[in-house]
Amino acid sequence: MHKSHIFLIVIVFALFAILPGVAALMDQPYLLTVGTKILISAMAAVSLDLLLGYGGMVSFGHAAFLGVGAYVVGILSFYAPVLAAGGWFDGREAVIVWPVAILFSVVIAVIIGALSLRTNGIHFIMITLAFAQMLYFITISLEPYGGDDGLSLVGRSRLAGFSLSDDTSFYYVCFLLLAGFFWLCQKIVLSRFGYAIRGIKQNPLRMKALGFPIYRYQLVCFAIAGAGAGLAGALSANQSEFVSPDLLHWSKSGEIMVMVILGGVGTLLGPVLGSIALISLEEGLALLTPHWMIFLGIILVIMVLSFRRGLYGLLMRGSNE
Amino acid sequence: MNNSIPILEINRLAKSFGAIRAADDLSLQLMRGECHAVIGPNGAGKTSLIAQVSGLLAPDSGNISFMGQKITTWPIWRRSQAGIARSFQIASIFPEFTVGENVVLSIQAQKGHSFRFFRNPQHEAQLAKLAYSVLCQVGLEAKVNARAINLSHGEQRQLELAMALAGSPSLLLLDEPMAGIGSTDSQRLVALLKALKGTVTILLVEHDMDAVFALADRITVMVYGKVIASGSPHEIRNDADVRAAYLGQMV
Repeated sequence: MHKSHIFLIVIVFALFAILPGVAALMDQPYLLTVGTKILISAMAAVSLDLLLGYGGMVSFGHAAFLGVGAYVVGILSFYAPVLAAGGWFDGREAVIVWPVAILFSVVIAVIIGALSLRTNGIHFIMITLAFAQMLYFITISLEPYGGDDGLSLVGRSRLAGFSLSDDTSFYYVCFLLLAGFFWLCQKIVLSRFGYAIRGIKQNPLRMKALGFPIYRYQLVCFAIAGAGAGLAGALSANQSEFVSPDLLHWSKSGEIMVMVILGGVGTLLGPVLGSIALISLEEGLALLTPHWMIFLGIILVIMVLSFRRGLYGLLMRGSNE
Repeated sequence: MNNSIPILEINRLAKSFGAIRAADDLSLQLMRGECHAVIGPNGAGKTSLIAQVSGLLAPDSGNISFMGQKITTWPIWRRSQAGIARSFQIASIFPEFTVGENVVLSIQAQKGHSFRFFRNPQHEAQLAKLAYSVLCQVGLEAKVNARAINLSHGEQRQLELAMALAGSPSLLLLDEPMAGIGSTDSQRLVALLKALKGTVTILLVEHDMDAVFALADRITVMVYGKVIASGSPHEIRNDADVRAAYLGQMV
């Protein structure tokens, strides 16, 4: 790994680490909420980068996995009293609920991936979008769980008995999970598996001729990305204590993809930067003008046209990467 | 090792693209350790033959056996794992990877599965050592850290061959390895392939007749998907049909 790449990672995560302190000093708890949102979106964006930037699979349905993770948390919270009464397990215990959320997202990712990966190019983009839209309409029709209106959680999950209702604790949990997931992805892209999926992106035919059953590798990549997005969804449900079909809307998939492209495709750190930039811009511009989306659009176009590898490329300019 | 049993047996292969016949009742046997050259005019079906043996193209009928097993319906990757490696006519490499990474990835394909998520294969001493020795074989060791995209055309061809050799295949399919490389490089390539002879079975498709006659133990001549002659270089050189159809004044 390049030195300046590591340096940039350290800076970004150090800034994340001190944000709650800064928010407290400035007496702006709102900053903490925005920061948590950034961490959660960053996790979804990093997982999409694994697919898109390293595996070359342009999935336009990533919000589906986010939504599945969130709905698992929501529905288990809904049944928490029943589960507790039946002596099953605590429907709000993160140690149980979050892995279940990840598991469901992985299962959905494997199903969607198994079918989508039989196509490629524009068909792949469309079929992943179609699956995500299907799940979106399923959540709308989930009347017992609020349907269109969504479902409010009884409260945030408890982590091994500790409450996460305190925003600062919750922020640090998200921070540690993003750091862990980021580290994992950084390891993966430089592992045997990582070389295999990067090879498939560059030259799938050669990979087959070398003896790689590429479909299996792509599918596992899909599952890993689904896991990351599922965990992000579980966290997202906890942050807002609310789940709704909006989480699975195609525009959400688009937003995650914008973060990846804005930050720098195939860089892992880029999507984190993209998440910081996009959410800060959204929040900042929204304070200035109700027409913020126009300005956001203009800024995005300029960014994408000017820098090949997005914000990451901009910050790494000068280093010989 | 029993040299009398064919390692590759192609039996009555047929393949058409519309009215064009790429393989027409084509049968061919490769003995273990031999270098078998396939020559013929453009459009004779030589590249299609390699595509069908490697699994890129499915024949319309007929079958292919490798080491006694019918592989006609096997996917490409499975044939490759069984020991059939190929080089491509147009260098097919991983442009963003370094030369070393290209070769390590090629070895990785043959050394267990790649569902390993933590250790960097570039740091696995065994893989790196093997990769380096393959690069020395093709004379590209000085470029081990260069990005493949920055290689010259000739160097990309060398890398292409290194990737085919990397998995220590038992059958090597070479699709015009001499195409587009200079005379010094092609002399070195001929020397390299000569050194490989005996250890690996080679199916060579090549237009460079000097290389073919220097390397081949047996030569098969194809025209319009049909074998018109097959024999030792000496027999082919003196075959009247071959001279008329293809070699002309060349030899």
